[in-house]
Amino acid sequence: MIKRVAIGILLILVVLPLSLLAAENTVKATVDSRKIGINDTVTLRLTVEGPDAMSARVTAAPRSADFRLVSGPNVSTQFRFINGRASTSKVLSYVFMPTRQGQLNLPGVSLQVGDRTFTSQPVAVEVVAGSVAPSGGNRRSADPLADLFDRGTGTDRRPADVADDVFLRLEAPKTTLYVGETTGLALLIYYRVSVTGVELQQKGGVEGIGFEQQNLSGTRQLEERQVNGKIYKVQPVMKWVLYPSRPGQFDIAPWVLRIGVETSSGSFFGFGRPQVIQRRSNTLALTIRDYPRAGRPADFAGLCGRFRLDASMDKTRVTAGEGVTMRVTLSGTGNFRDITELALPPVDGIKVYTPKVRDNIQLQDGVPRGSRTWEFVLVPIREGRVRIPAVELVAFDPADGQYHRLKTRTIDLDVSPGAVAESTPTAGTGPVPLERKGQDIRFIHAGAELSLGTGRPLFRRTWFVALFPLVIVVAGLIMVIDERRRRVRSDTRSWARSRAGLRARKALRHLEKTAGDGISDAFVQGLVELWLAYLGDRFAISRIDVTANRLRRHLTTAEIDGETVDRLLELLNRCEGHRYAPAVLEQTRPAELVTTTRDLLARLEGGTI
Amino acid sequence: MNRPLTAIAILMLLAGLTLPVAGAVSGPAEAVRAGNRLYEHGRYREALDAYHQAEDQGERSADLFYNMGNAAYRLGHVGQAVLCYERALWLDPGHVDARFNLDFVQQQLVDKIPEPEDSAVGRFWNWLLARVGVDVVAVITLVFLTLSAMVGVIFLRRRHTAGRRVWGALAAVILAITLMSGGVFGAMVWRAETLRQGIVVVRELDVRSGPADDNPVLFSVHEGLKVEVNARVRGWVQVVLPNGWNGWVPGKSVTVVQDGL
Repeated sequence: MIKRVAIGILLILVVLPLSLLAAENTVKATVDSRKIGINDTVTLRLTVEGPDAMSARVTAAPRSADFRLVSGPNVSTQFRFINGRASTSKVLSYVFMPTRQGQLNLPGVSLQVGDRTFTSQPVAVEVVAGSVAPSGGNRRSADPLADLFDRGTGTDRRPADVADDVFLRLEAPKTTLYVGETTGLALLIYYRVSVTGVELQQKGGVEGIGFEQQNLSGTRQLEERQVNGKIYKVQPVMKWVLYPSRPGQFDIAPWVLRIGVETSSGSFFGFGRPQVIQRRSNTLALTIRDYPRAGRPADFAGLCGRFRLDASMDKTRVTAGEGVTMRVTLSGTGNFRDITELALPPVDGIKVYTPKVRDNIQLQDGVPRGSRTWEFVLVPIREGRVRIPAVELVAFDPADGQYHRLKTRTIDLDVSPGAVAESTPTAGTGPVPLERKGQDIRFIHAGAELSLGTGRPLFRRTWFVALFPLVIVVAGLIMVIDERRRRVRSDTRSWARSRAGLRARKALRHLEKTAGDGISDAFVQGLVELWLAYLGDRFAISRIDVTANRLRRHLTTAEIDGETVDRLLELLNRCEGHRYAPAVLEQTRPAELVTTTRDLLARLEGGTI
Repeated sequence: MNRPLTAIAILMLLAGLTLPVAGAVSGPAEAVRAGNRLYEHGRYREALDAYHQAEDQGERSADLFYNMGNAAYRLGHVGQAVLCYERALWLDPGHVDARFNLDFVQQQLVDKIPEPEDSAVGRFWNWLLARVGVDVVAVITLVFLTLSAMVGVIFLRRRHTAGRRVWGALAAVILAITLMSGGVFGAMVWRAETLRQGIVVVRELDVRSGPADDNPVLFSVHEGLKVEVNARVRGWVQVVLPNGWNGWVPGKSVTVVQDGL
């Protein structure tokens, strides 16, 4: 059991894609012979099948120096019946005559089928001297349709008698109609032998009646009927919907088809005998009557059929400014398409917007059935009870030959006060569609949004461009300075030397602030301490080395000029003397010592202080 | 003097004061505002003159060209309108109203030339050019360059500490972004300095195979079409269409968007 199911699924998986493929457009190129004589012709046939077959057209004509085009493209249409399904194919044929002997290629042809372009491959044909056509044969005649239905057995071509076995009929459900009343029309083939295909030979039709061809593809419409005691299979070849537009008597001219049939040959193996026959349909007489004048209402607009008219409202209690949807539905059988506009009677206090039209219409035997709905958006603009009057339409019913007035019911709408203004519906108050009524450019910039200036782009401004190297330079400087500081800090001696002047100046400022008008011990002590610290940091002179001789030697070694050394020694001597004899500095003011110290520091720092 | 005539004279004087003619204004900003007032009263020709006066006085803002485009469109000069909107967008690619009006006017052009399908990179590039602009990329590049410098300095200061890997990775990422942004910026600047886009400003224009009237006509284009302008020879310019077709047209029939900006 499982095995069978698995096989079944497998078959579905295989067959389904194949069937889908079958629904696509295909183009097949064939020639009637691969070997011809220099005096023969060869027919290249392009068979287009698929849903867009009838739209196929040649986009690039075949050209070749080896072949002369005798005729083409000769276009024909084929209808085929396979298991009761009708399919259509289009055949384009070219007849060529070779210009020289040898192994030649028939040129490719480009076809536009639907949205795609197909190009056939060149076909190799051997051309020999003389002629290879069979005597009396017509396979390579210039008529591309001659072998349209040739099935290739070809051993016995004597025609069989199929006079009563195949015939055509034009049939319509109704032959007496009113103007505006539609009906179906079918061209049917009745047959008792195997039919392999049909080809249109002559179109029928008539002036004054509109024809709309219906699609037959994909519908199984084969049935059996008894005619004169014989059972025939009946298959529609074409179907139309007729739209009479004026009264009168009309004869729909017959259609002529060439039909490929296959009759029994009586052989033991049962091979069929193919042949092509021609059949002409009957002429169909139609009587089209005008609508009766008696009792015709003035507002009759040509609605013909059996209908009913209904109206509904999605709500009957609303606030002013709130949108409400009213649906008016015409349902039944008849010419819906002739009624495109439906207007609501004007109602005071109600704004009515252009309706949307929704159709649910199908064709059944050529007659439209279903419904057409108009959806109106109504917006009440003042409070109170509003009565929506009945909508009316006049329809002529061909069944009873009478005019009927169709009416909807009246609907009351209770409108409560709303905050919305009278003029327009607003978003969120109901299904009020926005409607764009026109397009234009936007207004000039004239108010606060107006921005004027030189318009010079930023990247062309010098200051902006300068920012790029500036960022890099600043970053580089920061890195250099930082590196220098890092290195200095890593060497305590160097650090102290670099900071000596700074520290001395700071101490000097402090002394200057705390000094009074006269020289004090604290001031002198502070000054001496300043110098001892400075000399230690700047020149690595320890405190015990601060004697006149040693200090002079150190400073001379440090390339300090003699005058500066002398002045420094003098200052230090005076301070030292103050410890033992305060009168030494009695006449001296602190500012004078500060100035001297600042000057000496500047000299020792090389002018940096 | 009778009173009605006096009243009319006063009204005309007031109208003249409120709607100054283009020649009476001074300064580009005042010329633009005068043009705006004229435009609002439907005097598009005079408004356009006022805008041109502002341009002659050195005004080069996107809004000026946007307003000029509107006035030109109202006068039926579709080519001039396209030119002005393109100039507005060249100065400010984010000018939404100029973009809208340009799209609107382009729908009315005679020539519809399908542009070749771009790759993802090409679409991104076009988006950068059309919607972002050189200035924005320049600012982004500068910001990332500054960030790179800052993070780079921090990384160097902390290269001997435990967090050096984090700072190193951050510096590498920001530096990569900076380099990419800088590359795009450089390419955009190069394009801005070299590209010459022209707008056809005559109703119909025959494009010839060479820079002279006796050369065969290759094809015809119409007002408002944007082309790329290549070479110039004896008053003729070589134009290239978006689909790659090229030929020669008189220089005065095509105005280059970037000229004077």
